[in-house]
Parts: sequence; structure tokens; C-alpha cells
Amino acid sequence: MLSVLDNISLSLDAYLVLAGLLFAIGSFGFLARRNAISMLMSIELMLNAVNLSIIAFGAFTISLRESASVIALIVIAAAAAEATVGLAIVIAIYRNRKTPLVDEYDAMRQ
Amino acid sequence: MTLPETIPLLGFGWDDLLFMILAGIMIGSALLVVTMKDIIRCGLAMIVCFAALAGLYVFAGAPLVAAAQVLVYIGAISVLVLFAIMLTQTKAGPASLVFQTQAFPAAIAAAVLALLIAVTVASTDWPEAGARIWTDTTKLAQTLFADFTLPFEVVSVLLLAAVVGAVYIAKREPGGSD
Amino acid sequence: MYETLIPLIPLLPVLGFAFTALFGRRLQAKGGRTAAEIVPVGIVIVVWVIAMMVVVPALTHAEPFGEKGLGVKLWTWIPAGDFSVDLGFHVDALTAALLIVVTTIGMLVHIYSIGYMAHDPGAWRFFAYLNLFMFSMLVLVLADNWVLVFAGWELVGLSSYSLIGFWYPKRSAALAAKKAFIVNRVGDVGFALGIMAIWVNTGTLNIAESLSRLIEMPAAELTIPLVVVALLVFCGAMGKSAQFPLHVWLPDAMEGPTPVSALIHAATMVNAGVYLVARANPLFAHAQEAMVVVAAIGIFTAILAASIAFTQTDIKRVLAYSTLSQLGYMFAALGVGAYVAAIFHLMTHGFFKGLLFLGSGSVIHAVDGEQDMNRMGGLWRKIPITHWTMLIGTIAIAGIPPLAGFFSKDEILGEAFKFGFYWVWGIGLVVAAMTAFYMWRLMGKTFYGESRVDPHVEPKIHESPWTMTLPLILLAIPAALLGIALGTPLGASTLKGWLEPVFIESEEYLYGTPATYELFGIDGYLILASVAVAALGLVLGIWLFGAFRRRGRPALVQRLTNANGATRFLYRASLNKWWFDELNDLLFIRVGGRVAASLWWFDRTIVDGAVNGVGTLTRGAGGGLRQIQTGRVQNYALGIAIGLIVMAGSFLLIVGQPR
Repeated sequence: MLSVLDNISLSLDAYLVLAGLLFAIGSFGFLARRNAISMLMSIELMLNAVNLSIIAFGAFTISLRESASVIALIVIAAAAAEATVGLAIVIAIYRNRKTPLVDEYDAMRQ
Repeated sequence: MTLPETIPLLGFGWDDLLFMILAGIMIGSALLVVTMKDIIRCGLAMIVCFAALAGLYVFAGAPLVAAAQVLVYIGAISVLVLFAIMLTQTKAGPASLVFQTQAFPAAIAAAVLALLIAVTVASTDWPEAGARIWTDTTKLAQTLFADFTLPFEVVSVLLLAAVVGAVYIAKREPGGSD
Repeated sequence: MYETLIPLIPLLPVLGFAFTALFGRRLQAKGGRTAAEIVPVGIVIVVWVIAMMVVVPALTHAEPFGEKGLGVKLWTWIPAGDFSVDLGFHVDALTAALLIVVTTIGMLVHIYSIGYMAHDPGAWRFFAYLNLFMFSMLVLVLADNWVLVFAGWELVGLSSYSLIGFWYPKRSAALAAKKAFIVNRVGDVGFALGIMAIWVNTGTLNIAESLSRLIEMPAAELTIPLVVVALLVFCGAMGKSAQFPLHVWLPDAMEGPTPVSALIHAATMVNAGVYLVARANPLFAHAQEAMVVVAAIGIFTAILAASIAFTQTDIKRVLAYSTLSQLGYMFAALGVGAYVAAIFHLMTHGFFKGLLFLGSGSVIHAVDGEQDMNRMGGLWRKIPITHWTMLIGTIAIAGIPPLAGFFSKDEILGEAFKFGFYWVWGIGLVVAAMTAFYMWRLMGKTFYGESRVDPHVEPKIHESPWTMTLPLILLAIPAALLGIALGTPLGASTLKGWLEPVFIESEEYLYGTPATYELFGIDGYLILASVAVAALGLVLGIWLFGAFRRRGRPALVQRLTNANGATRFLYRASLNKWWFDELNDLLFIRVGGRVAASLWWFDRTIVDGAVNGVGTLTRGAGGGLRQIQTGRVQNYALGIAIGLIVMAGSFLLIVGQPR
């Protein structure tokens, strides 16, 4: 029965399912955690899931091979930029609100 | 001693075993990231996840991206995250609730999402490519600097903007509180 | 020349109204009453002269009037495509007859009012309203299209309201004015609907054109049947001329000054309804069911009003009910098709009723404001001019030849009999007897027997000034002689000759060629019958209420009224005006009030409730939906995730898995 896992590293489906699973986990973390930094970490997970799927497609399609890597690199750079700014904002808000928990940011609520 | 072709009892090759181990580490650490109470441990689990991912990238024939993953994600972003966690720790941190009220519906939504993706993927006919294909770094460089010149430059500007912005946002007010 | 004269007739009074309304107060303050009165009274005298100049050729069918009359169009009042209404006047013999009554009595009332309002600080206002009324009435009779008639109709109602409520600080006067206007309005609704029906049927509002089209169109083409149109028009006449059941306003209208009662409620405004039906005679002739209704209501009003006049004690009320009764006669005449008789009675009644009202005003003036007849008596020597003129008026209204009332009343009754309306003739005969009786009762109680006048007032009794007695004398002349002037020779009278072209088509349509007049045949017997019942009424009146030095028999009157349960009931019913006011109060104020209250409840609870309910519902929904906007990004992101899942999932399920 486990022989179905033979050559699994050579099947595109596996990579894609893994990417999807990682994405789902990341989205769960984003929706369910209270700490702002946890949300940002979950966002990083989601971005990585996307990266994995891009690389997977690149691995199994000849014409996309280099392009996939390039795109993945660019995604990494963009994720880095975004994480930087996001964390800076969280720090700034923390200084104001004294708490990193997003459901306690209610200054504009009635 | 040489390793046998396939693992004796399990019936799949050593590559696949390594693949599955890495995959398991990745998913496991990802789950730890989103469910652990102590946020520093979440950050550390994230590092483990990134590392496993880098290994998976190598499996997918993209060593340069794996290197970049380690350098950037683990080396820079995770450190940044850990610093931010340090700066925003409250005394009541570990004691408070981890999850929002909507955690349960969120879990169901995430599960359904994963299911959907799995079903879609499984039912699509992907064209096979046979063996693993390794990306030639020379060719990658050529593609990056020749075909993707503009995105490359834009990304560098983006990084500059991000750095400037982050510094400005997180700067302490002169004579301000804290 | 007539094109200029005819528009002057209504124009001058409206100018007089404007002038007096604007400057009257100041003129009166500075120069006394005369200064304020000279313009309105002068104008009315000038109008009378002009009217006489127009009336003579119009009645004798001289050029340029001819048989159909002369039309003068001033300009197009409402040009609106298909719907076009002119401001125009039309004078034919019928209009001329009305003009005689309106202008003559109007002029005499104006002169009379100079004396009557001599002590009233609001005299300038009175004359302004009087001029307004003259204008309105003249517009009404001169108009050549229905809309202008309606305009005059409404204006007359307004003038009547202003004049009845002239002493507005007095609450009963204000209420009476309101009642008159409202009851008139009820009739006016019918009239307006009738005008609309005429337009829907014929597409034109010119009187002559619309009437000729109405009778020529075959019945199948008419959108609204002729009977309905005729009855609607009669509704208006009922309101204005106070026929049952819209008669309740006229007795209360006696709250106004006596000249007002004489002018408006005896001689002119109440005749507007008679004029209307006479003008629309082709319409009625072709809708004979409507004519029967008119006759029935007319004669019923006549006997109802006469029965009430038996017991009233206010001298003006007796005269008011008498007016109602005589108007009933006129409508009965119109209903049986005796058009000329109706107009003849209109003219004679205008004069002798005007005389009686002005005379009663003189009596009231003499006894210092007392209007209750039980506190008068023995006045015939003290105010002789008033007494003798009123005596002439009473004999005229009773229908004793050769005074005016006999000719007109007998013609009505005779025609009713000869056209086969025996019930109208019978009831009319009874009413004639009743009329003679209660009029003599009025004379007896007011002038004859012992004086029951309040001792404080007794020494002040004096004859009225010449401004008041001159009109009385001037009116007594036509009251006496008009019948002979217009009603002879019998059977082919002068008036009939004048009015022939207006009515001849309808009369021939109804009855063919009229039978010849047999003075020594059936007509003679009818004359004898009328005179007999009138004399009977008079004799009974003299026996019970006295004459000259002869005393009345108040004790006998008392015994007769208390004779048995039936007479007692009749007395009470008559005294309470057959409880019609109470009936109206019950139906419309109480029951109507309940209906209105329940409708108000409906409006408040259900209609407003629905509208407010929509508002409340919206607010509730909004309040509920507001909860979705938590302001938290994670909630929104969950929403996005769920939406994404639903979309992708349904796409997968419906379109199918990609292959």
C-alpha cells in the first residue's frame, strides 16, 4: 500500500498538495491568532506556500524552469520588504497601545 | 556499503523517504507556528519550517532559491520577527488567550480550503516531466538579468522603500514616551 | 353699442367693490357714511339704467338680439388645446328676465341699506360686499359657458357667506354663514360633476353648443347618460335654491341683515338654481326621469316649508320658509315642463318677497330690533307705509287676483294639471291654502290686535326714513301690477311671447303643440280652484289672527293645537323644523364623526404604521447588519476566506472537475 508513495518526490501533485496544506495552515493562523506578530508569521507561511508551488511548477515544466526561480526570488524579496514594514508598524502601534493583541485595538470602535 | 535501491520494508526509494521526512517536518513546524502559546517558540518553529522548505526547494531542483531562502528568510526575516517579538512583549503575554473567538470557524474554513486545493490538484492532469530537473544557475542568472531586468530593479527600489519606511515608522519620537 | 354695454353690466359692480374695499374705511372715517356709500349705490343705479337699455330689445327680440340673443366674447380665458373656455356673455330673453329682477331689486336694496345701516360702523364693508354680490350674480346670469356660470355660482356663495356673517362677532351669525357655505358646497360638487359630465359627453363648454349637441347625440354615444347629467346639474340647483334636503341653510341665513335676506335669499341668489334648470331645459326635456325628480323635490319642499312656517315666531323665519315654499313651486313648474310659468313666478316672487322682507326690516327697525312676532302687535296705525305695502305683498303672495302672485301661481298649477301631473296640482293647491294662512298669521300677529310690544320699546316706535320706505313703495307697484302687465292676455301672455324662443323646442318635444286656452272651460275651473283655496286660507287666517281692529283668537289657537295627540305632535314637529337639523347633526356630525374617527385610526395605525414600520424595519435590519462590521480585520478576512471557498467549491461542483 505504501508503494503508492514510490517516486513521490517526482510527482508534481505532492508538491502542490503540500503547498496547499501549508497555505491552509497559514490562513488558519492568520484568522485565528490574537497576536499581531503571529498574524505576520502566518502571512510568511502563506507566502512560502506560494513560493513552493511556483518552484514546483518550474521543476516540472521545462519552459518555465528559470523563470520560476526568478519569480520565486522576487517573491522572497517582496515578502522581506513586506515583513519589514509590517513589523515596524506593529512596533509603532505597540508603543501607542501597549499591547500586541489585535482585538484590543478598539480606539475607533463605539 | 551501498544503500539498496528501495527501502526494504517500505517500498519506496531513499529520495522519497527524505522527501517525506522534510515534508513532515515542514507541516509539523507550521502547525506549531500557528498553535503554540509562547510566541517566541512560534518564531523558532517558523525557522524550522523555513529550513525544511529550503530542503524541499533543493528537491525541486532550485538550489539557488534554497540558498536565498535560508539567507533571507531564516537569516533576516526570522531575526527581524524575533526582535519584534522581543520589543512587543507584554507581561500578560503568555497568560492571555491564544486564539480569537472565531478560531473554530477559521479552522473549518482552513480545512475546507486545503481540501479544495487537494481535490483540484488531484483531479487535474498535469503534464509529467519525468526526472527532476536541475536549474542551471548560469541560465538563471541570464534570465534574471536579461529578461527580468525591470522587476529586478523595481524590487531593489521596493527594498529601499521598505527599509526607509520601516525605519521611519518604528523610530522613537525624540523626547517621546517609552 | 351693445357689445360695450353688456360687459359694463358686470364690470361696474366689481369696480365698485374694489373701490369700496380699498377706500371705504377711510372715506367713511373722514366723510361719514355718505361718502363711502355714494360710489357703490351710484354704480348700481347706473347698472340698472344700462340693464334696462339692454333688456328692452332683448325681450322684444329686436335687433341685434333676435330670437337667440346676442353673444359678446371678450377674450379666451383658458386656451388649453382641446379645452378652451371663453370669457363671454350671452343675453337672450331668459337672461333679460333675470336681469330685470336682479338689477331692480339690487338697486332698491342698495338704497334701502343706506337707511338700514345708518347706525352701523361697518357700513362701508356692507356696501362693498353688496357690490361684489351684484357682480357675481350678474356674471352668473350673463355667462355664456358653464365654467363662467360656475365661477359666478361660487362667487355668489362667497358673497352670501360674507353677508350672512356680516355681524361676525355674533357667534350664531358666523355659524349660520358657515352652514350656508358648506351646504351650498354639497350642491356645488354635484354641479361641478355635471359640468364635467357635459364636457365628457360633448367636448365643449359653451352653453348653447353643448346643449344642442347633447340633445342631438344618440344615446349610445353618450359617455354619461343624460339623466345622470341632468340630476347632477339639479344637485347644484338644490344647494343654491335650498331644496330638500339641502334646505337647512336658508332659515339660519336670516342671521344676516334684512337687506341681505331680501336681496340674496328672496330675490336673486336662490333664483340661481331656477335659472340654471331653465337654462338647461333642453337637457332636462330629454331626460324626463330627471324632470319628475325635480317636480317631486320641488313640490315636497313647498309643502314641507309651508308646514314649518305655521309655527315659527321669528318674523324673518316665516318669510324664509315662505321663500323655500315658493321656490318649491318654481321647481315643480320646471319639473312638469311649465318653463314660462316658473320664470314668471320667479319674477313676481322676487318683487313681492323682496317687498315683504324689506317691510319686515322696516318693522324690526321700528320696534328697535325685536324680531319675535309675539312681542309685536297693533302696529298698523303706527307704521302705516310699512303696513300697507306689506299688506299688498301678503295679498300678492296669497294669490288673490288681480295681484301678481295670482297670475304666476295659477299658471303653474294650471299647467301642472293640464300636463297630467295631478299630484303636483293637488299638493300645490294645499300649499296655496297654507301660504295664505300663514302669511295672514304673520300680518295678524305683527300688525293687528293689541300691542304686545315691550313697554320700554313702545314709545320709540316710528316709521322708517324715506330711504327705507321709498323702496317699499316702489316694490309694491310691481307686486300689484306685474301680473297684469306680464301675464295677460291669459293663455298667450306677453311674457310667454318674450320667452318663447328659449323654451319652445323643449316644450314641443315634451308635449307637442300646446292646447288652446279655455277660459270658460277647464282653465276657468282651475282658476276658480286656486282662488277658492287662497280665499279659504285667508279667511281662516283672519278668523284666528284678526285684521285691523278685529282681534285674533289666541285662546282658540291654543286649544286647536292642543286638541289631541296628533295635533300636538304636528305642532311640535313644525316648530322643530321636522327635526332635519338634528338628523343632519346625527348623520354627519355624530355618525360621520365616528366614521371619520375610525378612518383616522386606520390612517394613524395602519397607514402610518406601515410607513413607520418600514422605517423601523430598516432601522432594525440596519442595526442587525451593523454587527457584521466589527472593525476587525480578521473577521473580514474570515469572510473573504468563506467567500472564496464557496465560490471555488460551487465552481468545482457545478462546472465539474477539470480534466
